[in-house]
Amino acid sequence: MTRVPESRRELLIDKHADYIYNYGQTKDSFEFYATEHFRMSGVYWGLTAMHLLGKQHMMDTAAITDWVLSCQHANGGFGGSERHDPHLLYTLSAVQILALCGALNRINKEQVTQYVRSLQQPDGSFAGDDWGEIDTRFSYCALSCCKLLGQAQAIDVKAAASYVASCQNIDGGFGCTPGNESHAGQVFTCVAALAIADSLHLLDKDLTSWWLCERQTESGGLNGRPEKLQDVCYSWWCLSALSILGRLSWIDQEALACFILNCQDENRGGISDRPEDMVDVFHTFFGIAGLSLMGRCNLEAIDPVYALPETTTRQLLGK
Amino acid sequence: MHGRPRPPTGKPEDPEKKKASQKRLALFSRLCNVVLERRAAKRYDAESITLAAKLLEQNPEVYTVWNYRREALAGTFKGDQGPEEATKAIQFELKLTETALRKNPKSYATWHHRKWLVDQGLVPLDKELQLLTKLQELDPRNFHAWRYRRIVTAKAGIPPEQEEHYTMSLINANFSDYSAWHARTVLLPQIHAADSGPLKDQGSAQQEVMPSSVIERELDLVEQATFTDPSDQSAWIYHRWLLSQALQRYQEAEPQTQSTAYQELCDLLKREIGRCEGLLEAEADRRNCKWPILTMARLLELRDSLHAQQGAGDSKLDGPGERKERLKELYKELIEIDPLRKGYYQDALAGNARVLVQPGR
Ligand SMILES: [Zn+2]
Repeated sequence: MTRVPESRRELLIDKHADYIYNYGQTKDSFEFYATEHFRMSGVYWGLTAMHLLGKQHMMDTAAITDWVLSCQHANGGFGGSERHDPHLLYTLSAVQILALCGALNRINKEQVTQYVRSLQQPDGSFAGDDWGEIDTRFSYCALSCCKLLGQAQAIDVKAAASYVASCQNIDGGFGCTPGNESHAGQVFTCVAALAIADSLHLLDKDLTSWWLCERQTESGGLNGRPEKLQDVCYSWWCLSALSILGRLSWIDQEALACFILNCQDENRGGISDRPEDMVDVFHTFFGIAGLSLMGRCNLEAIDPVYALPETTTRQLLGK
Repeated sequence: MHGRPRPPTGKPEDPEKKKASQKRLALFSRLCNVVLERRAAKRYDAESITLAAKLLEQNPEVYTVWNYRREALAGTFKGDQGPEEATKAIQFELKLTETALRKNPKSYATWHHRKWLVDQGLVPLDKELQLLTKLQELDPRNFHAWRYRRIVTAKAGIPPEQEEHYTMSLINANFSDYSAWHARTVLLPQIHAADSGPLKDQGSAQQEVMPSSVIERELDLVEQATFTDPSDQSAWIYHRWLLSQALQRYQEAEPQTQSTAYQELCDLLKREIGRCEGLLEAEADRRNCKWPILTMARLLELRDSLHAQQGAGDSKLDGPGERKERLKELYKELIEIDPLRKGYYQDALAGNARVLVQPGR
């Protein structure tokens, strides 16, 4: 475990808030164009991070809501931004943003769920869009989306859960389709999907949790697969799954918190994948979310299943 | 964004560099604007489609533009312009996706486009396998490539035995190739299941149990790997699976073969405990011994619960108190050499973490 320099021992809340705020403002950068096709997720990461930091008032929720609505297509699905095709990934991000903005009443919920439902396959799996890519990530998107909209009955939840369960491997992890290698990102989507479907009994909790706790490396950070490098984003993927399974105590939380804090850029704000790398909104959100899950730095609590502030899910789902 | 170093602070940006990056931005934003405008206007002419290809070469993850190409090409692939045009178009798409994958080997959108091409039935599958083997040499752990490989081998009707040989060659080249070990956990049950047929794309976690001869052969392979490097987790995770397979064999045995199965499992456990002991004796530095110690603890737990279930403690072995002490020692040592996972070891010792399936569960 490396020592964290003085300048990074605390979470630099104001710097991160400024960094996220500015990310939404700079429109004349190469990055702005290169990331256009997934901007919906970018906005979701930024806005959720702001909520966790207690800085949501810095964001113009009315403008964000209007922008999200401008990305909806006639079939009910949302694109990654105005000029992009509808996809389940961005439909979930859109619903999450609208939930954060208290604006779910601005969309026709049945129309959105109709889109989600149209992507479910006979075996219970979900395609990401009309082009038919199948992946357990999309099962999570579908389940989370419908549940947040109060429309879980619109899809075959039982079939969805049994498909997800069929993607569990012998190491306890999950892959994108049956037979594919376990990956921590996929483990989060599958464990959370089973949690939403009330089907956690379908997985081997101890085995899954053990594989997850083996992701922690000497650095204190977590990796996504055996023999891979640690990376801040897995602070969310692994940790949320461990939290859902009630096994957060199986890793060294202090060491992980130090690793995340050490990935902060104390000059520009933001958090990177590893110390001294370039920051981005994705890792900034996942770093903050990881710290929140461990109850550190006085952050708002995050819901490990829906990846939204607990205050939001409590309001919507009454849990 | 991964693995890009943070630029130094306090240094003003080099004006030359700034000019270059502004030019790059201007070109790229113009290309994006033109392509997305034409896509919105459903323009499928040759020039538009070429511009779309240019954009994808630079930024392979823009899924909307791949959608655009598929819409534009669907008619050609159906043969609307004759078989020659279809073949030409396929060749172009294969080249474009290859370029895109070399730029970003983890691009979901590009791999999916490639799969779509294969689904059109015009792609020679042996060429696909050659490309995969090349890409997998560059990064043997790329799970996108592995996923695509499973799709292609299933479509090509490649026997699982051939793929099993491929995984063996990868493991022989590098014992730490976890992806190859994982592939074996899917392939071997397919090969050795009662009705082994052609390769299935959809392997599953709900597995049939393998014959004991195969389990033993694989345990020998693990022994080779762990003897080379006892701290390499890939082979040990595979080892845990083999033990659960052996256990499942015993649990699924018919009543008339119960006692043989019991003896078989006892012999196997005894041999594996001996192997762990051998590794521990050979390795002077206990910090490298996490995996053999952990495996030893699990083997002992399994043996004890098996004996307890059979109601026949072996009088030659230690009594229950001594066994408990031995386990305690092992877990205490694990907490010392691997403190990150202290919480797990504590739960495991208390019987609250069952990672190796327990008999009678
Ligand atoms: Zn990352």
